[in-house]
Amino acid sequence: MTVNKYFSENKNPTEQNLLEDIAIEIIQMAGTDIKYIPRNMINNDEILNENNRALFEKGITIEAYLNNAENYGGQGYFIGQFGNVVDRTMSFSIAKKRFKQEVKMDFPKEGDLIYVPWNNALFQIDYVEHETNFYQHQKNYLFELKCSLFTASYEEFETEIDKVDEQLDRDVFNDDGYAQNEEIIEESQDILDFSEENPLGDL
Amino acid sequence: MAIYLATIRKTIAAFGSIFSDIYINRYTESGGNGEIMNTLKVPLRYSPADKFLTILKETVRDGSAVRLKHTLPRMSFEMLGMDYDSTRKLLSMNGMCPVDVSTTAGIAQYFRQMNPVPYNYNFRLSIAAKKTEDIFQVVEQIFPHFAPSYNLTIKDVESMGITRDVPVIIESIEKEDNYDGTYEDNRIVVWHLYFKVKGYIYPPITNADVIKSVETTLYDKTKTSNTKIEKITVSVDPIDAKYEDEWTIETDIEDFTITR
Repeated sequence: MTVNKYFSENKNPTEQNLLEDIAIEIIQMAGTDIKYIPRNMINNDEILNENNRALFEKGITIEAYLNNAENYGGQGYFIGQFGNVVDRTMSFSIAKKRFKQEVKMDFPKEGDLIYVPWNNALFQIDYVEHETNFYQHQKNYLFELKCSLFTASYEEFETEIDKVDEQLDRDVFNDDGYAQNEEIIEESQDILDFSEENPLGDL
Repeated sequence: MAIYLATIRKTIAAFGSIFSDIYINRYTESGGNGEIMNTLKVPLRYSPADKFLTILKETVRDGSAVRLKHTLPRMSFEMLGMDYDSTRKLLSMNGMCPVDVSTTAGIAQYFRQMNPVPYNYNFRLSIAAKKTEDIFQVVEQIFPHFAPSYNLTIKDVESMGITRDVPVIIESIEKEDNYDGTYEDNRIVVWHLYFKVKGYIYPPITNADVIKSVETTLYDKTKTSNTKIEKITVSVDPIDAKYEDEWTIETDIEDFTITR
């Protein structure tokens, strides 16, 4: 016994296109413009399996629907061992067809970034759900991007998004109100009887 | 009156100063190969803090700065606790008694302080980074100097002229790396380095006046008698002389046997 061919197996391209167009239209009406920033992995460590050098060199505008209806996800602000942590998560839906048209990539990639202009937030894509809404008319029309606020670590930014490029410029990056290096050095000058130069620190 | 010598605070600052000048390089290729593109100082912080002071330093809440989760690499340190070290105990009744002629308009002031009490300070230094290689760059600057100890010369009690070599000993190293789990949990690599600092806690400094007159009385003490024989008084003349004045030592002997 197989499924009833008059009711199931509905993969009529016309129906699929209609659904896709409706999805795109809804995102364009109820969504927001974001900047999609691809990660250019210049150098990967083949032993430690890490992306050693990343360049973010463009920000492409595309519309996205915010799946968080009321607020961010995540734990919010908390104080950790290393100071403030802002744990915010957000989920975006992007139409597959529109993504290919605008970004010129087949699909979003984990590790790429999303800049949301209206709240001045930079998110990293942690996971891309390719099967969101699960095969309506046997096809998927959306990518769901599960994102969290970006942890910056001296990457290279040439996105032409002024706020991002200026703040994450590695030459000025360190001034986040976190470091106490200078205060500790100043205090220790009165405490230590240490006329020689600190042996630590010369790489 | 409470005496606060801030010895623990000094030890914390001295410990932090060892790690306040550490850098990482960004290379054009992995494994430290290629050219150095940037050299970055690793931020260091003493972990415990007032929560409101910490949140007030956050600049993204008014929207003026791009919102990020945080920035890495970072280092933080914390004093975890202290314990008494009986193996380094000093004689309790011994101490130091330096003279300070610079105080109280030239009058010699003697300060006395008993021996300090040995305490071990337990510290943790934590290093967090997005990439393991950043951690390697940091620890490879630290480890060569600890074999397993590194000596800090701390001016413990400057007014008493006490300067001590304090060994900082690396005890253990732990590694955290949450590379497993769901893709929505961000990876962070953290190494914890545990240290023991062999320090001291100092008793209060007391102001000891100069002894200018000493009396000694001699008795003929037997089973049947207890007769005062002689009283010897040794004193500075004049008795109110200052340290830098002209003065002599006078000895006066009062003989009680004559009147018997």
